[in-house]
Amino acid sequence: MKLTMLYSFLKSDIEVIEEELNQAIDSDTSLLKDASLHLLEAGGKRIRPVFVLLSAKIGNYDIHKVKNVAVALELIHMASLVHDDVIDNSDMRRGRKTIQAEWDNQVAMYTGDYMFARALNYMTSLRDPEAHKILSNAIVELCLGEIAQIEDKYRFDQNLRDYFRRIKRKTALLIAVSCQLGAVAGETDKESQKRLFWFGYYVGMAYQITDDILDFTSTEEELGKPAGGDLLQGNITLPVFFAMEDDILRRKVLRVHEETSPNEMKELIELIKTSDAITQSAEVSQRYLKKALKQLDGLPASRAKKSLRDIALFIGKRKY
Amino acid sequence: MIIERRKHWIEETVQHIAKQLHHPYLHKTIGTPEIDMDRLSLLMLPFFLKKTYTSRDQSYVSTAILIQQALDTHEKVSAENSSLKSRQLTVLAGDYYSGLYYKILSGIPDIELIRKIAYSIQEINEYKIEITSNRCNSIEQFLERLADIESSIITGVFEHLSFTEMIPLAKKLLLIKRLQKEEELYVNGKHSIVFSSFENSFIGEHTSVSVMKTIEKIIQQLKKEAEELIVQLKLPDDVKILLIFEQLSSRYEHSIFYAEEG
Repeated sequence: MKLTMLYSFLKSDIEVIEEELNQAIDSDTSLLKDASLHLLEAGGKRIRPVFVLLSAKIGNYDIHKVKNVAVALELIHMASLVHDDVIDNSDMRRGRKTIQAEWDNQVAMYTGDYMFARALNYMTSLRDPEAHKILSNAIVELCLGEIAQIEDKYRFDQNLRDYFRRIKRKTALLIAVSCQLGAVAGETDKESQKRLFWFGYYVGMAYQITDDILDFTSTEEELGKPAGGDLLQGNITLPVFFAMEDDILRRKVLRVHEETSPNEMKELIELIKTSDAITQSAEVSQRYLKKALKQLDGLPASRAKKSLRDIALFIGKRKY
Repeated sequence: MIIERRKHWIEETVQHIAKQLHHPYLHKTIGTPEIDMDRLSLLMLPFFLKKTYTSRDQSYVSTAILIQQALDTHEKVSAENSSLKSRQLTVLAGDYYSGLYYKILSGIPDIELIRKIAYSIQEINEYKIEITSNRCNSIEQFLERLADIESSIITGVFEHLSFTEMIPLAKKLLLIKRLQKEEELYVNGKHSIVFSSFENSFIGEHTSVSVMKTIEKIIQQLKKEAEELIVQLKLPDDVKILLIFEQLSSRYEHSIFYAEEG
């Protein structure tokens, strides 16, 4: 089943969001518009807007109010992708050339900054100061998470707490605030806002752990990049932590550096794949998903709640 | 007494901004950016005239400096000869400073200024693309864009605080500063977007001397216009010395503190 099937009843609202995203990047400066459109047209799951809409549906749903928050969240995500491609020197994203590859780093930097500005512009339609505190804090944390990721590269003596804090900042928080801000825009009660924040947070943690597992278990074709790329780049993810509990694997992992040969990496990836590390990581991901589902228990029964549940379960089962 | 008070305001603001900009790992790897004292003194000028400066005002000034720092940091990304790690952290440092601007204004909270500054950032990036991709049709348009790139943030803040009479002066002084910086880049053999645009688009028969002369002429004209604005604004002498003499005499390396003590 496709992810979009799980929220098919939002189809017309998603179209409103797509239309608004197009409007948002409709700059008079043609190059800026082309670059922004280049990424927008490449598609994407639009999972953040979906979380905003579904969470808002728990309360008083008004698409014309909620759409501004949904668009803001997606633009922030897109801006971070554009800058991430400069950081990673990536040539391809979603099957298309990245902005930095199609144009250059300078255009990518300007486009990312422009999208960020447009996001804040949309967000200011929401006059609730609390909403801005929530989002601005998440943005700062997101940056700190990315900086920490670079700082922690090849630092094999880091602990699990470092890892969880990193993925919280880089992935979970933005999904959590997507849910929370949707609830704020939908004027739900404080308890529901809190529950939806934690739902998004746990789903985000599970999502990132699954991503980290798939980096080992997926094929190069599925990933669009060589498997084990995270480890080769020095990113110590959950499967690596578990793998390092085995002395032999630990010694091999400690030898990884930027110049490790593809053959050596391939062998190590196979060893990690066949160890307990993958199952153990999947169990942690499942525990987060269970926590996410528990948060939904306290919300009134609705179609939106069912969709949130189905999306969480989908994320737990996804294979790429 | 007044001078002492201003000095205290500036010192406190510098400390506040420095604290925000400081990140141990970024500091260790790519360094902490220097605070642009010219821009800071320009931003504080209306408060010197008003003779009041609250902690909320300090947040406004800090925000304007932080977001400018974010944009300036991102300008360094395309610079050559930087290592991969340095480039990665430069991107993230700029993003981090942008986030801080939003966080500070959300904390006040001042949603209207968030909106105004967001619009300025949007405009600045549109203009940057225009000037780097040779979309300007004339020297005048190019200079107008360059002035807006340099002053759009301050303009947004001044409009918000109803200090609009200061905007034309800020625009001129920041353009002078930018052109002088571009001259310095050019003289030192580095890439200057202003010089390359003038050479490639605006001056037909050119030599490096003729481009230099044209830019110098523009700077002199801008200085004259700035001096006229200073007269029109009737700035008291003790305020002028804090800012304007420094700008017009091109001695940017001297901080505002030296001006006060001198």
